[in-house]
Amino acid sequence: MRILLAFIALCTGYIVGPGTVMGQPRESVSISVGLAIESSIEIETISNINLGRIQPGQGEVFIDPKSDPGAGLLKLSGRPDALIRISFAERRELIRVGGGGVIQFLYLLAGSTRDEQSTSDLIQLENRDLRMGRSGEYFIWVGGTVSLDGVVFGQYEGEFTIEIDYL
Amino acid sequence: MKHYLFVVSCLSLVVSSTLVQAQEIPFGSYYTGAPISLFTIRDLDFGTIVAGDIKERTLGSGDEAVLELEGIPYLDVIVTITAPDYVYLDGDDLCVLPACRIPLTLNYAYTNNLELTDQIGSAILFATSTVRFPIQRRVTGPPMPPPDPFLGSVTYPSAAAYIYIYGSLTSSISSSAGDYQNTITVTVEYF
Repeated sequence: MRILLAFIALCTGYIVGPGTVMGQPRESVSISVGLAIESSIEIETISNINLGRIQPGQGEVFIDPKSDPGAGLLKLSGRPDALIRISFAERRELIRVGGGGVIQFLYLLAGSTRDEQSTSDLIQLENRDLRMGRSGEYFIWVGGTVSLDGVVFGQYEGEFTIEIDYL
Repeated sequence: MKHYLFVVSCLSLVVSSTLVQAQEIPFGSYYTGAPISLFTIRDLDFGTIVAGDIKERTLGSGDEAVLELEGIPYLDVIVTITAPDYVYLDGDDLCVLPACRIPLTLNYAYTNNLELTDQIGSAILFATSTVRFPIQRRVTGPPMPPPDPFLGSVTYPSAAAYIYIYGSLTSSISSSAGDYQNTITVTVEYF
């Protein structure tokens, strides 16, 4: 019987012994995981650019985005007072409908928190970070310059792509 | 006869234990007073997105979370990461709807080759929430002899290893606008 008890103790020591070391130094820290979801920005085209009727021999057309009624108008809707960044390709091609001609359009933009073109400011490289209005709206007028030297008579179409990001 | 049966039973326990586990010595248990520290260098900030987008933070991007671990170079540490499955709108972890929680997928890595922060060229990836490694990577070959015992007032040698946490968040089109948060807990101890 004595031998049996000693053997039980020995077995118990083998089974329980490893893995139960107490008192080692231990450190814990917590790190935060964060993400912000912004409400999306809606872009609505209120009006397209209208170059008007071009006279024969006219070398260039200029649409002033700050004042010309032919400027296109985009309306942005998003989070009130949010900082946004506007990116766009300044130079795009207009393609002649039916083929046979390409002209280069150099875009100019002007923006305002109010739907009043006269209150708009030019959006240039150095001020492309803008702030939405208190109502969550921002208005962008799209104009630009197109050279008509050597251009084939006809109808030309093209796209203007603008990218808006929250900052 | 009954006595003999019990002896056989005990022997089988001892033998099976020996077979499935290699001999390891938890040296950390002999360093109960040794310092070990862990602190956050950078949290895991996924920035700002629009609902429906996926946002990823990759290892080496400079945006992944980084923790610095300092301790005795030749000792192994066990790192345990307790990570949530979601981040919650305004931290409200009672939410169960896609509108107020976003699934979180995490990956982990460490460097222990005396690299500096964000030097991840030789980072070792691990997928599990628990990993064991020496604070300073050992050279290949037989282990070095153990150091001399520390006597009296000692200054322990120290080295730094780094733990990196990165991954992705997949929002849904129904995710509500706002701030989503949660917490990852990292625990480290000597083995």
